[in-house]
Amino acid sequence: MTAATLERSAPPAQSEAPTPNARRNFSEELLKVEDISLSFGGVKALTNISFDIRKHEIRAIIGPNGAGKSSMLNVINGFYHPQVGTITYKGQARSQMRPHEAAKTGIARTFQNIALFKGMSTLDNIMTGRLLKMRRNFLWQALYWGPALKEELEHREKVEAIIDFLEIQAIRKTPVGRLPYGLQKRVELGRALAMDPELLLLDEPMAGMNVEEKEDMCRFILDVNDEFGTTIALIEHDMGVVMDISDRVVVLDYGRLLADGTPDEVRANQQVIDAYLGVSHD
Amino acid sequence: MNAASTNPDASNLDTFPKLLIEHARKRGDQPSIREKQFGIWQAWTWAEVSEEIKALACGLAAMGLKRGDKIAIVGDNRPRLYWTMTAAQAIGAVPVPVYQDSVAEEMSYVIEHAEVRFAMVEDQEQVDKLTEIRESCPRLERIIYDDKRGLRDYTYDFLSSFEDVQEQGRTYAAAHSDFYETEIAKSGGSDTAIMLYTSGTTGRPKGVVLSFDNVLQTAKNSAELEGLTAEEEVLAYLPMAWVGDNIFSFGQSYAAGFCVSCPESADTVMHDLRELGPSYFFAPPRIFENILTSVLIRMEDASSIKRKLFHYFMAVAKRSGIAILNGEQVSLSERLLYALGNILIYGPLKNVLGFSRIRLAYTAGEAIGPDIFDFYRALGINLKQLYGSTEASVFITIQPDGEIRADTVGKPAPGVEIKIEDSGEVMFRGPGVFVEYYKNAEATAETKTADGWVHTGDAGFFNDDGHLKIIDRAKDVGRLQSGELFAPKYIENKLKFFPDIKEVVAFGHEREFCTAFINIDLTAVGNWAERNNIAYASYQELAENPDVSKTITAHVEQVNRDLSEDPNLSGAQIRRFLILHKELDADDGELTRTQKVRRSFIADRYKPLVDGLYDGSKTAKIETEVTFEDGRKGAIRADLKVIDAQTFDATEHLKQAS
Repeated sequence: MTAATLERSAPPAQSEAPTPNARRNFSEELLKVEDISLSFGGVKALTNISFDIRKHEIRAIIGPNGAGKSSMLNVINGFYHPQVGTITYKGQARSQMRPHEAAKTGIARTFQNIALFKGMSTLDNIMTGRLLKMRRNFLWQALYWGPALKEELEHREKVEAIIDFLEIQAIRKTPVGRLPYGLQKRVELGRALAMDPELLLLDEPMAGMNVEEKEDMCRFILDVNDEFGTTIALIEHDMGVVMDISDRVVVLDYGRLLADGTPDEVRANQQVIDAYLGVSHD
Repeated sequence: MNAASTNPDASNLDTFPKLLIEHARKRGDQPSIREKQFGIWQAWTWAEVSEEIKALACGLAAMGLKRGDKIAIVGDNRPRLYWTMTAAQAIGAVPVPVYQDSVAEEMSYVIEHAEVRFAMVEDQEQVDKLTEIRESCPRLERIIYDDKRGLRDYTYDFLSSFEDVQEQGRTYAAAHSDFYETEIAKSGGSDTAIMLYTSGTTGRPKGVVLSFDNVLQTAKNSAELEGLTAEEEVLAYLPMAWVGDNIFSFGQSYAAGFCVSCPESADTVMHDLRELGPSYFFAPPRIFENILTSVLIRMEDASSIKRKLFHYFMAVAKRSGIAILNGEQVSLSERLLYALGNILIYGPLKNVLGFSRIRLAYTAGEAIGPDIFDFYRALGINLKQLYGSTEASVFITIQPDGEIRADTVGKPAPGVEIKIEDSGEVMFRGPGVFVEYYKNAEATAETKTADGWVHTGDAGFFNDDGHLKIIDRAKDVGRLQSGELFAPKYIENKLKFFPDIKEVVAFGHEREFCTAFINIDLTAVGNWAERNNIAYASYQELAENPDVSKTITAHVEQVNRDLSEDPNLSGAQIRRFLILHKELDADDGELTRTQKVRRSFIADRYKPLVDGLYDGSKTAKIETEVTFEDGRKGAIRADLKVIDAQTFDATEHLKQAS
């Protein structure tokens, strides 16, 4: 993976560019989780996790298999309800989030296993992302006339802008089931973007992709963050990718918080190194 | 209806900016250019384009672009990039379109050699590339971009957005009210209109300087010959750096006043083509070949009744469709059958391909397989061949309507004279003949004689009815050790007609016999593998499949049989060949940017393989360096099987025939 293509907004000549954190100022807190604990029966998935996500940053959650990364995302968007702890989103504290609340208040996500409507076209799939924003009831929509038509056109315009942004014009009308995996991931990102999210949760956006697809995806994530100012929290296994594109990284291991800081800090953290490379017990 | 010829002041409309003002006056509310964006075709009228170009031209001038300066244009076909050409010409600067997919090193050479000061680029990718190039080309002062996406955090002071430039231009125009018109009036027909770098099959690219007279005269002559009107629909999808695009999507549009449409993205061309339904279309043989291959593949996957209908009516079309198109006599029953086929097969097929409204289609650049050519003509598409070059502003010969043959390139274009040298080389002279190679008097003198004749480097002859037939590059036509004629291109094209074969490189000059490298077509063979449940992980694995070798061997032997029928060429049958382990790729320097094979480079790079073909061994070893799409390099090692093919005697063939 070449540095030039991935390093945040650093054109080739600017290799000595300051690190993202130094140039960009993230002070405003968008979401904070405090002392979150989640268990399934006797299995403790998360124990006393606290961290925050600030506006406009790219926040990565990493950790070995079974560390509790996906559980953490599911807690944030309300799929799982933690037994202990509070979630503060946009200043409002609650002990648990509900999925529809999360969606209404601007949290969108993609899934580790793609969750698209396979038989529907790319366009229609992304259009479903606009559903929450549609005001007219289905009778109006069935008439497809007057205000409903006007509304549909507005949404279509937004969706077309996303299609243009993600460079998927060529597959606009292709059923997503026929698309290669990398493109399906892109369509899923498109659907999440259609919700005009403030916080975008990406669950392994680059899993199973080849180098080229990963580079494209990185570019899109950075562009989304740049152009729309969307805050992004992502889970990813590819360390190279995480270190290149994120502003701050949370490391989980066995449901505990291991480290939290900039990519450089995390990279240098002995506990993190041990968790990833294993420790010898002699 | 030629805009220029119906105007009393036609003689004064000798540059594109002048024509632009004329079009804005005469057909201001007609569309001039379209682009598909956000799923909708957005159009600009001639009047709007005229205003956009004026603002841009004044902006470029305000930023310091002077008469005689060069401005590079890098990107896909987009309206703003076309406008940049006219805007630069309006203030006397020279546009230099550059192939947008060329690697930094190639691009850097052109930018340095052309002494480019300004560059108009499409997007971030090109900005990054040129920023890198700028370090070695200090003359490059300013980079202007069309699409600002991803560029928000770029703070370089040499970057400007297209909108910025136009904004400055509007202010400048307000302060200098007659600047634009005065500047336009200063240029005349003999001034430089554009510089195009040839793709360079041999050596460094050369900058071909074309004057307004060259481009405009050629565009007008050809538009008149083919009766092009302001009503044509054209899709601009070929590289802007290629002379063909400059004539078909720019020159002829200005000459005839028709609207040019730009596709949504490079991936959507086929789809956009279908939506637009162009009336006039150009494509190199490769594209016609790809379309045909994909049609045949999809027919293989169709239900058996559809497949049978398709094959039945295609046979009807081949039998009588071409004759009907040529206006020859065809029996009533055949005509009825063809009409039925038109309803059932040809019409829907043409609709799917976007060829429903096509009135005129050209192909050129390479010889087209006769069967591919006949396929389109049989469908009723008036596909013609032409022969041209950058040095001629495209047209040297065109096939006149009703005199279409698959194996000739037609008669001299209007105003063009042609002669054949003793060596067999074709030479031409005419209105489109280039001014010079930029900063390369030596090459100019080698190519162009004092009285205006240009060497084409192609070997050919006129047949009995005055049509030119090109056999091969003059320097490529060789002889076997036995003295028999070896025309590699001819053999390669024969093999490339098979949908399974994508690329062929034939060897034989001063050798004992003829041999070949073959690239299989991954789409066609991959589809076959899929249907036969053959698993493969890569091109290399598929190429090594024994069943694939068997099929390819059968193709080679079929070609050998055909060659044996021609007494001149029967000596050049392919005795041994091998299937290459990787696809030939422009990124590895094996093909030119226009996808032509670089024979000597390949012979050099794969020397161990060529040796293997001639030393009688059963396998040949090779290790090659490849460039991956992300720019990294790696090595591929392979052990390739050398296959012996059956050859046929001319006599044996006669025996069979009797």
